Amino acid sequence: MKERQKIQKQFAFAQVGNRTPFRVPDGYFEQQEQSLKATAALRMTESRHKNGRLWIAAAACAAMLLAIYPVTRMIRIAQTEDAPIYWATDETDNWTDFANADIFMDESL
Amino acid sequence: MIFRKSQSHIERLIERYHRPLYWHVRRMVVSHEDAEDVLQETFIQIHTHIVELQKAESERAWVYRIATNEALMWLRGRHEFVSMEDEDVSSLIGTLMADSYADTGDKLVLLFQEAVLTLPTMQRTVFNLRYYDELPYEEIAAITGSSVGAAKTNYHFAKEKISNYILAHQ
Repeated sequence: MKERQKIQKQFAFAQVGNRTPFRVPDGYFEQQEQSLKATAALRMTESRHKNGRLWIAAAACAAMLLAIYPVTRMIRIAQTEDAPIYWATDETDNWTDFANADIFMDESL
Repeated sequence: MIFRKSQSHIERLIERYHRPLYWHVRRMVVSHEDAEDVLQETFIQIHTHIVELQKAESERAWVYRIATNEALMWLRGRHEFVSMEDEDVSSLIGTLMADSYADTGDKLVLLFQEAVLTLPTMQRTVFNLRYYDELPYEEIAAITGSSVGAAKTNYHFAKEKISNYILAHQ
């Protein structure tokens, strides 16, 4: 009995082989290949454009930083004992000396 | 240059794998229309993760793994909140019977496919990969994320269940 069942099982597998009931429309794979390639090409173009936009944004940021840099060089932050922080320019560098040399300034007040 | 290289790489993958992947996905999801959608999604995932292919041991196992995952995700999505092990088998058989691109004329082939569809998902996946795609167990293990031993065991049990199903329903 067991042997008969074994043969029957093997027979079923041998009869079926690698056949399946699944079918596709005529010319489906050719059309599918074209469609997949077209989708891939479209996605590739999109990612290329996206990458291009990222580079443009990065370049714009770099240009803005380069433009701002000379302005930041013109203004520097100085710190003194009396006045902790104030904005100083080249013109204001000698103000303390001018004040000390001012004979009309009464420091006793 | 890089874009052109990866585009030709993807085109080569499409040429080489679109047919076997279609049949693999079709055997998983049964319906022709669903297999088309899953395959489209599979190649989108391949395109998105193409750089990871360099790290993969086997190109075939890598693309099959993506296709298998996409098919499983699709099946899970259809049976929301239901684990794949409890999947409604009769619905897959119903899909097969209702599919306009299925030949239901050969009773033995149909019975065989019904038997395959009654298997738990992992056994069904392993059986299809081994029986129809004739992949080595090492690649099947890589695709299903299991060991070679587990793949062999799953295939053995699947074959036994199919044989018994055919004997019981013939």
